[in-house]
Amino acid sequence: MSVADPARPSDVLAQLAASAVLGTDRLGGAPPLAVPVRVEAIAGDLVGPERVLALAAGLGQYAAAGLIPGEVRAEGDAVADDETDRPAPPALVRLIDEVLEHEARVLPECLGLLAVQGFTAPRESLPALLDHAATKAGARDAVCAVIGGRGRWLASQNPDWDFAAGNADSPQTPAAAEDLEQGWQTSGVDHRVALLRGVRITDPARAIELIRSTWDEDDAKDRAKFLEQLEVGLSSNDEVFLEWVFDSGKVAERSRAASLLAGLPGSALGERMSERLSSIIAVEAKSAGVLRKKTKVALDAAPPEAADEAMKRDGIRGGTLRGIGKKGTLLARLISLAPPGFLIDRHDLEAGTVIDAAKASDWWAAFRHGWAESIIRCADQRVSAAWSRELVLRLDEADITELSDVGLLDGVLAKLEPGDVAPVSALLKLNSAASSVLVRAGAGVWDLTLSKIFVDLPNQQFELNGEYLALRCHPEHLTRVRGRMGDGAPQRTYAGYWERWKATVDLRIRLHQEMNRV
Amino acid sequence: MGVKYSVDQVMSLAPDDASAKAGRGLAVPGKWPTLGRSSRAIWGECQGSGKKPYQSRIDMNEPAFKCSCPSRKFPCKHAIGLFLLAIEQPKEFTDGEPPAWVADWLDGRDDRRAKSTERAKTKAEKEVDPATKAKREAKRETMVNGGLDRLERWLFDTVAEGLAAAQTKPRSFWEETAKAMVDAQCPGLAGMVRAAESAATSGEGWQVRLLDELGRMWLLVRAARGQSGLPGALRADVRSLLGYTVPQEQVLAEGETVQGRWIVAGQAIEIDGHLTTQRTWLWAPVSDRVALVLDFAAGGRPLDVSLGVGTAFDGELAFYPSSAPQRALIKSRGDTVLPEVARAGAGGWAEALGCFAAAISANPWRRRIGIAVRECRVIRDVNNVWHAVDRDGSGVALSRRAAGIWTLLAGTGGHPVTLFGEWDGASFLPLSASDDGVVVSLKPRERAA
Repeated sequence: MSVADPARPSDVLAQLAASAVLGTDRLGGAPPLAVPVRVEAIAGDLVGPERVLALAAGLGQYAAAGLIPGEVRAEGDAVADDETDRPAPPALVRLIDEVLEHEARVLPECLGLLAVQGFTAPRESLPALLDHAATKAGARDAVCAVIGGRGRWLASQNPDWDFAAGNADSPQTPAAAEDLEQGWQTSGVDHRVALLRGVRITDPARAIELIRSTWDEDDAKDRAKFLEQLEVGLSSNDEVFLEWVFDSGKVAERSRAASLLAGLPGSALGERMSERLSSIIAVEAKSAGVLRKKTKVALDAAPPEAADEAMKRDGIRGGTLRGIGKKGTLLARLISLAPPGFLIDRHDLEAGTVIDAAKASDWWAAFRHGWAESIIRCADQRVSAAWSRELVLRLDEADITELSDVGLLDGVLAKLEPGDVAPVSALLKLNSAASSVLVRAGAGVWDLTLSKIFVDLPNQQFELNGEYLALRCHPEHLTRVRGRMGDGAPQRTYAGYWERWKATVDLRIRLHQEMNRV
Repeated sequence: MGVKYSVDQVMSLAPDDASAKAGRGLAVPGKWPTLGRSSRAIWGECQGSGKKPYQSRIDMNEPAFKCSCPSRKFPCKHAIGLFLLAIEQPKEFTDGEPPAWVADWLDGRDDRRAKSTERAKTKAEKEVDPATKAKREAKRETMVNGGLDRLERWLFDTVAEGLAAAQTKPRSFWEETAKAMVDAQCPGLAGMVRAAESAATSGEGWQVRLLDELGRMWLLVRAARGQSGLPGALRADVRSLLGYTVPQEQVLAEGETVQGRWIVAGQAIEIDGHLTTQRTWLWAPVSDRVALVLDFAAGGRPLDVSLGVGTAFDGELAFYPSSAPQRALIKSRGDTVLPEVARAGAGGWAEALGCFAAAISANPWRRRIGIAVRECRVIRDVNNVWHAVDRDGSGVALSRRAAGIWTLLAGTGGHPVTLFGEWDGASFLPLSASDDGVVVSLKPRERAA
């Protein structure tokens, strides 16, 4: 209530209400109040409760009629900077809604089509897209790529959508830097991980400074989590720090640092591992033919019983992998931290030749496991794709089962060159289980050749792969997929899922039609 | 014929999500062996699971639907699919005279409308025996007076005991009084008692809100007792608040009529037990008249879907008698036209709140008005509260039921638009935004009372 302006009807009403809380029985009537003359006229000579009610009626009217709007101060940019946006026609809004509602896994394809045509997302879809990306981190890149200036402005208005607000290219303001410092020092582990992830994108070195600044106070478990975030923007600039972790960290941190460095092309760690392996693995190569190509190669290995201190320093962990034995495990661990080509560079061999030789050796299980991990870690896409191809081409059914059991098969397949059909066909010939693993590999829509392989699968395999056919088949083959899916559901598949996949194919067909129309 | 509806408007007609989705799936030409249209209607035959195709037809003027399918949903998925198809792929439709199964239905509709007007006229003219009527009215008058006495006593007791005591009373304290008002044939007073109950439990500031409600009731009791001395229009307001109804026929025959181009500017739905109330606001930008059309549906029956937000029609409304006329009936409705907003509506919030002051000065019990305000932006203040702000930076807080704010911001990018919504003396519930002749619905959250 305002003292300066005691006669304001809303204030007087509040005073009246404050006294009415206790009741006129106790207070003996309405308190003396400064009421407007015409309100007093309504109350007249009324007494007790009736006077209170009459004053309330009059003051209520006065207060409601006398309302004036307040002055509102807003935060943030009032107006979007979006002149270069080219929003897609509103006709696509409904379609995007459907994609989000029915099958969000189609969203990257849908948004990709928009981007290819030079469109930004329709404006009405922006909130739904940003909401979706707020909960599904995997969708963020695709969403952020199409929201345009309008979307970045919108995101800047809602803290939940910070990830899309487009501050990435603007350097951090001093105020933000202070917030960051404070947030890092005082927040819980989840928030600190989030902070780190953000900083790592804009300023990788700053992220390392932050980790170092609290290293001694932090829990080893938390530190391992922080190190995990360095995967984003990893470069040789991080090597000094990660080598320092080898000297200062506990087992979990050292092992985390090792898997980061192992993927970094040309890292000192990779060199050290290659060095160790060269003293453990014996290569016997015979040259033949005009080009004196080394075709006949035999491998043997003599791993030590246990890791020495230097290996432990470099993140080699203990334990034994199932079915590989103690020595085999150590061999696999060493290989997994070396670059995939550790043998060929030294001995001038072809990747395929070396894998063949490894397969013929007594140590194949260790080689298989080690290479799979090394390929998955390898950050050089060209190298990892080539090695993945050579390895997959040489896998038999037992290998597939083993790699699948230890959870490495998907990772290796994901490294295949997207259009590389040969290893895919080779795998498909093996068994249907292989195809169901294979369909999960990689990301996005298959190319024409791979799509054709899947569309032409025999019935049983076709049905098993219905979900992936629906999601990833090339648009040109979608009608065919839909035709093969027919109207009923096959016996062996859950009818509910089958209906869903058919609807997904229908949705994608419509998506392409409508995109072509705009 | 050109279709003046948007996909969103059609989708919002669907009775539920399942129908909307199914209708969406049917909006492909392949499912419709025949598709036709005339100046007034569209129709099509859709191949369903049965031998005979379903015959679906839409009178585009209202719109009104009919389909030969057995679905109890209304409008059914076929009608929605047909409607969408007409908007998205008009070229698939063949122009021509409607076939018999469409023409008969349209004729039937015209007949029924003519008959109901006729019936209304006859009913209005039909004289009830004056003696019987007077006796019935006198009886109700006595009951109402009894109700007023009881309510007055309850008000005095409540204020004497204190608001704090009222707040801690069991539900029966309010409910018994409300029931007594219903028994005394003043259902309007029962509603006010329940409003007071909600005020008592409305959180911070409840004391002022509760006292305000009680004062309002007291004023109504006084006004009702002194009815004969009130001007006619205000007397009509008082009787309506007590719960006397004015027959629709009488409103159509005697109510103030206003001809204009009416934009369906907003819709809000409230659910109270079994009764669903739909408030549809019509706005004639040229004259800046606002009208409220109420539709009630009990027991899950569908609401009137013929007034889609963002559409407009030329027509004549008949207003219920009031000192600040607001509630109206549609007396005649012409073709659907494109909405034109131009530079209409209040220029700012000071002017808008002035309209509210004028309305409650005429009718002190008016709780909410529909209002359009030009050049509004929706922004969040430093305390995270949303406001509608005019070009001078003055604004009011938005209602907590406001929805679609992010969609609005995505559409405007922060540039001002004309907002239409409900102002209830405390907060603004935006119902639509218009810019450049496009009116976008901001469907608020439904409220369960």
